[in-house]
Amino acid sequence: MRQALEQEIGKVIELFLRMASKTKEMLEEATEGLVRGDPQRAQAAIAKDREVDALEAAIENEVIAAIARHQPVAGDLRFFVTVLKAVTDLERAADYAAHVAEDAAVLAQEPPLKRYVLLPQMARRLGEMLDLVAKSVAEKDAGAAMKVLELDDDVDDLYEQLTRELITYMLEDPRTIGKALTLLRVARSYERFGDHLENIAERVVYWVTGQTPHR
Amino acid sequence: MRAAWESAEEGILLHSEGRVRYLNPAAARMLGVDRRAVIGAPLLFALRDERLERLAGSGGRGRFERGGRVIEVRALPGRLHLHDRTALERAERALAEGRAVLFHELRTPVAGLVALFEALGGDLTPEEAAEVRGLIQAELARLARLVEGRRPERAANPWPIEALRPRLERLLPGAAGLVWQAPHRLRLEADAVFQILLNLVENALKYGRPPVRVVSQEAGGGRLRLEVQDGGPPLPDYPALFRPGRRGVHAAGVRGSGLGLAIVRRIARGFGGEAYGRRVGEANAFGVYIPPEGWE
Repeated sequence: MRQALEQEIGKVIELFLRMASKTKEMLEEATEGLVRGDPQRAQAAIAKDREVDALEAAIENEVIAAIARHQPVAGDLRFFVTVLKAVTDLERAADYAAHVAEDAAVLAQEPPLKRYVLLPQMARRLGEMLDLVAKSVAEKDAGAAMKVLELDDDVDDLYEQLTRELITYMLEDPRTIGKALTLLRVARSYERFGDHLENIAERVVYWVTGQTPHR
Repeated sequence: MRAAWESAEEGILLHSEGRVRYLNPAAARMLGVDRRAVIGAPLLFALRDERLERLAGSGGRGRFERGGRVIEVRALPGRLHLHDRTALERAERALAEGRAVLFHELRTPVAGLVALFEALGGDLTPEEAAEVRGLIQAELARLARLVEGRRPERAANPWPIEALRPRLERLLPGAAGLVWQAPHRLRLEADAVFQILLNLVENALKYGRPPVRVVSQEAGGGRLRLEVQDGGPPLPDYPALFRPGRRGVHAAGVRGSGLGLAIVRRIARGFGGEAYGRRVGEANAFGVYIPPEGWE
């Protein structure tokens, strides 16, 4: 009985890792589309959004079936509930990667306002956060989840820095307002992406320790 | 064989039927996984990336980033070889930055030297021709020292900051209109200070607005402030502009590498000082703090 439940948990974790991996691919392709001004890369990211949605549905089905079959309690139940909620956040994060890709495709039509420095930095931090989210779920590692929370502070700082910079551009030269607003939306999408990973990390900490992380 | 793998720097991961059979400590470190948790588990538990999983199935080479490190992968049937390329990539990036710095520091003086040589061919009085030859000689000597990459030394005798004015005006078109309010004398290597002013004045002329001033004034702690002020509008983040590759909001459409201020900071630290940017009244000011022993 226990072995069957372990197998179910393993299968759910594998699907979750697949979904996290696909979301990371979307993030990287959207960012490359932005930085290189390559609309095809951006389109590739958008196309993956459906695969992420399908994985979300598959995980939900697996979790509901596992709960029905095994009626888990305590830590096992917390795991299934954590994953059930985490996939919603992960799917929303992937949506924000798709939003970045959509804006990247628009921005690619014209010369860039500036060389993008802070946006790729935000994306790199988010990639690291995704790796840690995957590790925290696969290895039941609350420490990795806590690092996600720290990295999200970096993402928020970069977001504020970029916002200040773009506002100055707009005040200086009203002709930049259109592009600057699109870049602000990109930065906002990255920031929201990070917030959803932070939500997942907080739930993982609760699953592993039974405590809500204090920040 | 496995005993050797246990202490190898190269990462080794063995797999079959889609499951991890073995991975050495180096592979676990590079992949950022706990190897006890992944041996026997599906391959994705260790690789955490579907692209790597596909590579393991198809064979070939790839690279990925994990935890800020760059990892190169070679996939053979049933096994993955992992190499941490972070240090190599960092060294290559440092080399590229070094090339960019040298290019940045040579571009303006070389353009100035061309103008000086052209001036020699024109109608100059013997005194003017001697002055131009002196400037060419001094600039070539400075560039030779720059290429050698020597650290700045202290000057044997103090010299007035304004002594750099003729060199700057000859090398930089537009520098003739500068306002000088720098009455102090320095004990630093003149070439190092010249390199600082060349970068700061060039930036002010390119990205700022007139009037451009070269100012020296006493700061707290016995330090001297040597700065270039311009009448440009406020900037959002002064410290960030000192990072290599960062350019100001007024730099759009103007040629530049974003290295000038990073170079200024490096030189300032070389003589125990520090570089800074600040807003002073209606002006932007970029400059360096000179330690007490470097001025009088």
